[in-house]
Amino acid sequence: MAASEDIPARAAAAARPRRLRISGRTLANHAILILGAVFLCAPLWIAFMSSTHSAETLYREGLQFWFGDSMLETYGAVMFDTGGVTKNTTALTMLGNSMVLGLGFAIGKIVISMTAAYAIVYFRFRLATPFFWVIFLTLLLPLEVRIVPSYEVVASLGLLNSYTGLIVPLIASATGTFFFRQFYKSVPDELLEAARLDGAGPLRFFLDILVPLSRTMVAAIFIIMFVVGWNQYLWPIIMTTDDQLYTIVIGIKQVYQVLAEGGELPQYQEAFALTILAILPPVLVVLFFQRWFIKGLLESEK
Amino acid sequence: MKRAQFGHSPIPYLFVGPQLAIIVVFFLWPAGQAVYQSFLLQDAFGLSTRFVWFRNYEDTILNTVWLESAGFTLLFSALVSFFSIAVALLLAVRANEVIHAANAYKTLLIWAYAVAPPVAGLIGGLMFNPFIGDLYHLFNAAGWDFNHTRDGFDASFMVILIAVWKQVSINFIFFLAGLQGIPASVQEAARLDCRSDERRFWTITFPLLAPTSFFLLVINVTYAFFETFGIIDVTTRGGPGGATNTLVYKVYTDGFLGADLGGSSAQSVILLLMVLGLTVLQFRFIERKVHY
Amino acid sequence: MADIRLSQVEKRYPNGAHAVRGVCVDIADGEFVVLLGPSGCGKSTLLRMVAGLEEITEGEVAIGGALVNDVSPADRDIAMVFQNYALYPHMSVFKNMAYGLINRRFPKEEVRAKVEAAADMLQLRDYLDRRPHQLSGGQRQRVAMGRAIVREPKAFLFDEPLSNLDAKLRVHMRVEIKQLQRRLGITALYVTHDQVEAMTLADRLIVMNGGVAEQIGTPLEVYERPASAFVATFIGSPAMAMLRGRVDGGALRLDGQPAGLPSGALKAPDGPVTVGVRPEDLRLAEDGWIAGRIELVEHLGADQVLHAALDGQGERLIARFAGAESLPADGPVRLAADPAKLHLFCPESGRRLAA
Repeated sequence: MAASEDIPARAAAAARPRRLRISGRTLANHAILILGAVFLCAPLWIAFMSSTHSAETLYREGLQFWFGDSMLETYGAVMFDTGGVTKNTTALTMLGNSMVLGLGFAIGKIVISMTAAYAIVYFRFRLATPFFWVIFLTLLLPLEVRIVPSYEVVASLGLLNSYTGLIVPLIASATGTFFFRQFYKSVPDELLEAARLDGAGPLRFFLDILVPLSRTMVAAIFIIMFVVGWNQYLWPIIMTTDDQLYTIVIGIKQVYQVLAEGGELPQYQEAFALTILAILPPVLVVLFFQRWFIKGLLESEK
Repeated sequence: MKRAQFGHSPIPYLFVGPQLAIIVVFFLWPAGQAVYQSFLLQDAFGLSTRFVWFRNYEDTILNTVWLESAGFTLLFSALVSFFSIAVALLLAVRANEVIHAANAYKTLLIWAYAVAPPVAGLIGGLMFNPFIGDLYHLFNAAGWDFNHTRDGFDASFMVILIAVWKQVSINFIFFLAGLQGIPASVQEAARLDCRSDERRFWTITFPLLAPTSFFLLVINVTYAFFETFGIIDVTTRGGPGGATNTLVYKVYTDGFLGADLGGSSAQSVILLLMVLGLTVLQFRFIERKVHY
Repeated sequence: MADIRLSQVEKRYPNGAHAVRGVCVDIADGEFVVLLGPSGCGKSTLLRMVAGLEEITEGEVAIGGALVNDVSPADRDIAMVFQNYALYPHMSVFKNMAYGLINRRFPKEEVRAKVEAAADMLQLRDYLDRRPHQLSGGQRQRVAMGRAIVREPKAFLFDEPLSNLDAKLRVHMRVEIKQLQRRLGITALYVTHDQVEAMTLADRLIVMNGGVAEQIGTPLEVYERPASAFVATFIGSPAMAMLRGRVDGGALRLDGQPAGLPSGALKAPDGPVTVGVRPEDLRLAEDGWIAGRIELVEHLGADQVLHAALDGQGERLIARFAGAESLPADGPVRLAADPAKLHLFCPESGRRLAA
């Protein structure tokens, strides 16, 4: 009896709007996350805002936190005019070169590693194991430990200042091959067996089954590789001396040098504008394809 | 090894060919050259070379500049790894708990992955610019006689800060994924057993994240060794007085700008051995984690 | 459809494992043969050798009278239904079923006609545009069947096709497969570890153990006259009790037991034997020759299952009784079985002794 009498009271209590109570922990969580977000985002914001002011303002008042009035002027000059921080080239040219490098690197790497991984996983051939170890070796040989001889090889092949020389030496490292090898291994064996019974040969199985099956993986890895390619620095500065082949990331080094040289009034706003232009494309790709990007990152680094 | 494979066919050779060709031409050959050159000594005019066995190595290791650089690199790697992992872990744990605006926080915290190190370097450098940099003025106004162009400590502080800033995002992504990989039932069981958030983190969550942390440690050390090249090249250029000269930066300056081929190659080979150590570490770890 | 002939088929792996040892069997056109055995007994390997997915180390496999040892799987004209269905996840149901026909360069119209006919037969007509992940387990199973049917192959190979389904669906699909096989006159080789599936589906059973075909025969033959102790215990649930004993002049005495069967009851030669008794062949008898102690009686409604520990032996046995019979809950018990229902096996080789 007592229990049934309780029911209306309990229902009333439940119906009464509960006072919104925020625990200390929740409050702390948000405070910490906001601080973290500010730590990461503030430099970008300041760079962007400062890029919209004139050089005089920056020199007089320091960094800026809100929009100024010379945005169009600055970005126009950086994008389309030579001189200033971009010297003999323009940001547009450099963005184009970065795009070629990013796309070329991503596509080249995916094609090469998909095919190589296919050979290693799906074929019984005598050289499979040695091939695998040779590919593995590349993990031990980052560019940084073979800078000078790599430069000499590319020079002797006449590939300095060419897209080929820029892209090809970068795409052969093992990470992509390992990634696809791991993925192929997770594809059920029965799929290959069913395809063989359905009369598919090695090429047909690859094109009809495996490639379409890898679509999301390819998309994920493409995002990562595009960003990695876009952000290449050491190799491009070594092997491009022709400023028409500069990528925007190399442009950053040039900006640094121009600012370091001094001169009358350093064009800080143009420097900021160039950093924004260098950051924007890869950041947009990452944010726009966030889900694929995270998947690609988690899978490829393993 | 797949249970079912194709038998004899020219396809595997065709398919593995391109990668193999590129590796031989652009990886193995230059690496072999690096090792070979590390045993050679060139005269000042580049006219004659001599085979000198391990002299370049001796010269490298006994050189105080190299030793200082090695010392800085180790300290730099340790600090960058520690701070970027610690900050990311704190943020990931909190981001995993919040319900409101969780996706907004996530977005705001991951984008910096896409920033190239030199770009981060340039922005950071401008924040510390003596003419316009607010941080420069802020530190000086706060009584810290800050000048990264003259003081090695200040310069190190700056490059470490920039390097950490750039690296927090990737660590955050991995920690968040690691946290989300912990089964909800385990978290709930822990909440029944342990009241203190703090204690629960150190006794349950942190141990379960250990594989992620270890993996990230390797990634971060590799980053601090190699990828920070771009940051240093547009901020301190190894200065002042070699105070921020990492080993990789030194290989580059000696080999390219200083044209000391033998010495630079010997340094490369030593670096290569360090990479080897890291890779072995990583693979031993992965083998324990992944069950073949 | 065609017949399949296996002669002295052997499989040895490079690592030395001897997975299949000298299997011989002729599968007639339209016959449904089930390969039954515990995991690792070589049954799947044998099936995969017939499919051409594993190389044949020794012996011959012939399909429709033609030796196929060196014929590629695609050219053997057989179809296979896999445990995990192996549907192509990125293709529609239609495309999944059509893929084999397209690869064999059938004209478009014919492909469509064949796929639609199969889809009608399998009630998949409304699902042709769906992807495999949009289907239920039973529907996926049907697509896998459909993929095999459209090809009109010489034989169907099934590799544990029902083990990914829940119990209820499994019974349903089992009936469907059997009906389909009868209707189309399919020659089928079917691998399973589930004895109920095997008993209900098979025209003939091949019971495998350790790579050897222990017995080949109709389900009833295998049940009633198991060729070895392994087959005897593997088939039948609850399992047959295996008791140690000795035959002496046609008399049987179980080790450590007071009583026994009188002289002349059995026709086996003198010596030690393993005596097998099916649970349903045991009955309560006050003067029974099997003495033990009741450990547990389970009431299953229609049946009761009695678990007893045998006196003087470490063995346990299980006896089955009708649900209505009144059984003591514990204490000593005496059981008996008709000598004609006993199975005698050689304790060393495990082979059946002529009784």
